[in-house]
Amino acid sequence: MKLSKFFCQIMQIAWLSKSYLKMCDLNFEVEQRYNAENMSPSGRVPFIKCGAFLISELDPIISFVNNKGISLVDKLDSSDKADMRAYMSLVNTVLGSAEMYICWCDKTCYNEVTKPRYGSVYPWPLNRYLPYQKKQQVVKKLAVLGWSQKSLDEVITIVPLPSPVPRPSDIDALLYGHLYTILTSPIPQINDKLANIIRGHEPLIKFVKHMDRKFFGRTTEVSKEYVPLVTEEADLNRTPLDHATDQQSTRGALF
Amino acid sequence: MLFVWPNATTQTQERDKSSSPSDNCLKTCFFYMLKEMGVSLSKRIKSSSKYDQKYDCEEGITWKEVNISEFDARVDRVHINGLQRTKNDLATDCVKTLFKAKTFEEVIERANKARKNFEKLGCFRNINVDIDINNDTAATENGLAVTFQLDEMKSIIGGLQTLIGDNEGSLAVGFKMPNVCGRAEKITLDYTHGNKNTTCLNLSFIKPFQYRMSPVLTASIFQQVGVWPQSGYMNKEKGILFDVTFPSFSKVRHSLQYEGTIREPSALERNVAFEVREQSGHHFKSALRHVLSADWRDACIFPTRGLFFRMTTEVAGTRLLGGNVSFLKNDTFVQLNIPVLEDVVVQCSATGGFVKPLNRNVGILDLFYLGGPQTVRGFEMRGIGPHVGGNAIGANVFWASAIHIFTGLPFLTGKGGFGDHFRFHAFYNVGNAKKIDGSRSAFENFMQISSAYGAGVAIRLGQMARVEFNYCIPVSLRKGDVSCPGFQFGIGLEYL
Repeated sequence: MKLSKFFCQIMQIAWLSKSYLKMCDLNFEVEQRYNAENMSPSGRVPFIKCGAFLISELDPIISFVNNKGISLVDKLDSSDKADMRAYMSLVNTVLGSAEMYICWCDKTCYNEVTKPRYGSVYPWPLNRYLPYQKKQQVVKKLAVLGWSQKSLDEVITIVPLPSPVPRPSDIDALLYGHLYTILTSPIPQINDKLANIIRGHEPLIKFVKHMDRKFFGRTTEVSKEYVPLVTEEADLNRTPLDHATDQQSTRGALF
Repeated sequence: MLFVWPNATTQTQERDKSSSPSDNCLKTCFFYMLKEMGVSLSKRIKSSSKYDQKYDCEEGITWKEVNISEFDARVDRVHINGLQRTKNDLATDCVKTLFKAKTFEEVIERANKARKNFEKLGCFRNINVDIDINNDTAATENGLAVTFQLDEMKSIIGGLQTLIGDNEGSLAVGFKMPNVCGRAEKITLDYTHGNKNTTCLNLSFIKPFQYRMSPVLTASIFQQVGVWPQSGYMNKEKGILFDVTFPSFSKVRHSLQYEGTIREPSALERNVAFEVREQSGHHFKSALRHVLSADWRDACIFPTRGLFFRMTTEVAGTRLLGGNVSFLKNDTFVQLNIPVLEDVVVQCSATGGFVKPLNRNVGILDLFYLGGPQTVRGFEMRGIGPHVGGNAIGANVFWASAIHIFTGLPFLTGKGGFGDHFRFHAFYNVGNAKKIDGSRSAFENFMQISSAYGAGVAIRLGQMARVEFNYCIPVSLRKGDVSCPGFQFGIGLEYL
């Protein structure tokens, strides 16, 4: 089956679906459109166009591919499949919400990375107005989940690894997509606490590198030097330059 | 201008009480003549007149024919009463034409013109004009004193009105503040809701200037939502519009506009064509527009003679203007009316336009659509032009033409009365709209036509809008056209 077009947006959420389609060994083209979110039937990216069909978000894409007779988990029994679906939902909710929080609710990240990136495809005044409008929508949605009142430290949670399955499955695509996005997004280092936590878990880094090599044929630098998480109040005011000095002293200590 | 004038001299209103019957008759005739010209005498004179407003007076009066343009007259004084917040210079600008009058006929004509100038300002509810003999010590021999009694509008006026749009009726609720700062500035706020789910909220500031060309500046902020089911999209717009309109020679008007709009089209349904869906999202259109119009017709809705011409040129999104919508657009509309017999008018109209992309492709919101009761009758709205999956996706070049024969309804002839609002017409209209890519075959395709003929009844609504019931027979169609044979109803302001 050939998927003709696959639309993704600048926030790299598409790695979820790209990895799944690669794992299913399906041919597809990627088209980057600045208005992919508006084009999508559900308002969310990524979405795929297959002939006259438009399917958005990972779960419906998986169902659509399964309906065509291709499945990564057909050898699992129904209770394992149910566990996997539940776990996928948990990962999506927790990691997805954490990513949204860091991008939109954390001031430094919003001002330095999210706002310029989100507005870069639009002319003035849309590049000022639309990030603000999107931020209001995301904050409202996170408030429903109870996340918007949390501080950055409270948001940093880690999702436990699933039990291993014999061959790559849907959950691997989902986890790879989220982890790759978190590890490679250009968040200012002082705020990149979530990435630091992930880097502190060697199995996760190995998993991401393995998926990269196997399905995308590349080696992306994801494991930067692990920087211990700083939790004192005073450190929240530090600049990236101060953080770099810390790294040198740590290296010195390890040596 | 010839009037039958009784053989008596002009008298002032102070001498009314002891006036002879012949003098009263003079005033009566004078009053009747002015009434014909749209100028009224003061209430004091009217109330003192014991006679009916008829031309014939008492017996025993000898009449002679006089030409009032031969009577020398001079306006010595002009009194303007009733000004509150209106500034004096604005009022004096309206009446200064009176001082150029040399004959009595000119005084009356210029008084009428001054009254129209006051009406045009839009600040006054009632305007009364009194013409009297000047009783001053410094009065000249043929001196007259003209008094304008003005009634200013209230500071805030609310209203509910119906509007006619493109094949749509709307209800508008709003309020306006006329004459805000004393120089005929106006602020209006309207909310309009149409029967096709279009809504519009508009705040405008209008300022007429007293310079040589009398330009009018309009600045407005608007938000509107429009639904186009034939194309499968809904469009939300928020923007600002600046407009400077000024007249040129004869009846030519220029309008220079700047429009800055944030537009957000979105697909109406899940199965809308992908060519429409991929245009969803936010666009910012920053455009300069010039509208040149000239109306030499004798009426707006059912003209019997004259030419109407309008050309609109728009450029959007160059480096200077900004925005992510970029094109050069031009469209022209010409209408010629020729009276053939007493109640028969032949009307020929033609329209055409093109839109050229500058930096990027032109989106569906800016392309041309043809078809419908107001353009090419006999086809559905947006029924002529490229279609994909049942949705009209717009054309970058179009042309259309129509020829009509208008007559009065056979049983409602004669000027005045109910019959004036109805016309019977037979028509033949043609058109084509295509996406031209510059190739020879595309040009040849473009000269193929979609056409229809038919007949119907047109009804005038007010002075601006028209309703048509037509029976249409499509003659030739191109592939993809959506025709509408049989009865078709249309309501709108402008028709081809």
